[in-house]
Amino acid sequence: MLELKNVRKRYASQTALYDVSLSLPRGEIVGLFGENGAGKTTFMKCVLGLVRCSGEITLDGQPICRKNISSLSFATSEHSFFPDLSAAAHRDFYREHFPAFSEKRFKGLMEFFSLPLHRPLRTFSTGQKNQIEVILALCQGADYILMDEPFSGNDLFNREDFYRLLLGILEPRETVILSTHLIEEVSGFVGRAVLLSKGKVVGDVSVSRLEEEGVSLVDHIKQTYNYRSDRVSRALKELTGEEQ
Amino acid sequence: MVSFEGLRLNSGSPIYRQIVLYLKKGIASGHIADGEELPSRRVLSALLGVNPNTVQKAFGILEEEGMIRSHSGARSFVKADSDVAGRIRMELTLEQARALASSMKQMSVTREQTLELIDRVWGEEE
Amino acid sequence: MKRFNDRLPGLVPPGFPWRRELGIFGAMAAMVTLYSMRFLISWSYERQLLFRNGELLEGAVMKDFAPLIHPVVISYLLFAAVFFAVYSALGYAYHWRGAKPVYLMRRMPDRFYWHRKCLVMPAALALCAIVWGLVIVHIYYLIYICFTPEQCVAPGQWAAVWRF
Repeated sequence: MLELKNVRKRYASQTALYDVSLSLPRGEIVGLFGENGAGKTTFMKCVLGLVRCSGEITLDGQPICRKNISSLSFATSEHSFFPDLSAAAHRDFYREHFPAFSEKRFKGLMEFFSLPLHRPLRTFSTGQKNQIEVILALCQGADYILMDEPFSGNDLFNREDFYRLLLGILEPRETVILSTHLIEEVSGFVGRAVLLSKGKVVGDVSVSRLEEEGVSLVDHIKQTYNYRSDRVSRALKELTGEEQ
Repeated sequence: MVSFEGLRLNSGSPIYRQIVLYLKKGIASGHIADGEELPSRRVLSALLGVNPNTVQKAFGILEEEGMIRSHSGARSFVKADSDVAGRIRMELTLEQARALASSMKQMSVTREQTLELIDRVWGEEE
Repeated sequence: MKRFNDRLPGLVPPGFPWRRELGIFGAMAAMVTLYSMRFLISWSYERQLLFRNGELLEGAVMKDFAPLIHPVVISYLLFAAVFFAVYSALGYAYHWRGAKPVYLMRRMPDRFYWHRKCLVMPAALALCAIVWGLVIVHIYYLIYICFTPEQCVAPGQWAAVWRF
């Protein structure tokens, strides 16, 4: 269980996270949604200890320290690898420093994405860089895999293939926390949706409960953010001076 | 092994219901045979690109309605003897009839006109 | 030698250009050593003042070793300090270049791994610079003592070097 209690992160000019409290049990696929600047990236960085914050963050009751940090892994669109090293070199590095690294899964994913093993990662295309980034996060042997907009730059087919693959390989003890803008695309794939806005948690729903109520995830999110569906027609009215 | 290749998910109704409906239609039409094995929850969720909980829910409903039975571990099999198949066929056809009646009524078409229309299209080749 | 070469990449961050680091260190060490030869120039000049027409002057006193060698000592200390500072900074900065492996480094179960990789090599090389500087100072001291007329050299020259 990954638990956050009253987590707060303040920068000089603004508060990025404000009193965030969440309980994330294992085995879930959690979608983290929110507008730009809502705090999704800060949320993940706080959990991983990459950013100092106040409040309590525990993993199975223990604070996050060197002993359990390898239960958390991270994939980011900023890419957390060494560009001059090859995929094989990264595999060796992870194998050496993360005892639970899965070589089998690594091999399978590399083959699935047809990624070259021995070329430096800086020679990869953006899509390929995203892929290796995600592969490393998935193979580290972590129980909580945090992915921050991991697909910016990948085409639709690669993304869809990837969701399916993930569904097939995830073990029951593994949890994925995925932040993305592509709500519709992931609405079938996530089991739980956490909505952030301006640093606060404004929504936390299980997708199956929404299904029971007959509301789609997209609609629920629109409702939560008070999205005005007549936004476009109003704007057009203004812009063109016509009655639409 | 039951094939789910033909299942196209849309955003019209909850996914678990679409899965249940797909299986019901398959049984009713005879494409899915009694005793056929179903893919495991994990494999099906990967195939369809949907959360395993959703698949779990669908399987739960199917089991409740007596259309599948689960065996050792993750393996499930279709239970579609003639009774079950017949029941499902009735259920589905009734639903279709209801839907037709409702949309005809919405367009202010009378019962007689509806039956006439059905006569007319019945003979048409597909 | 081969084993030594194999271990070197492990002392710097993964993929860090250690050969270039060694090359630059070597080049800078060569330049500082070249600069240190100004001692020889100032020493031979001062020594030459002790004579006139090939004859040793009465009561001539050779300039102390300390002021002649201090620029050399300072240049080696500066070299060591600057090299350490610059290469430590470069080591850390390497983790923001092109991608952000800093996120990986800061998630390692071995919390000092990152710092070891960034600091050990520059520290070791800075130490080498200091050791090399000491060797040079010793050599110049021997030259001073052996090739300056004994009667012109005041006692306590060596101790004076280390009194700043």
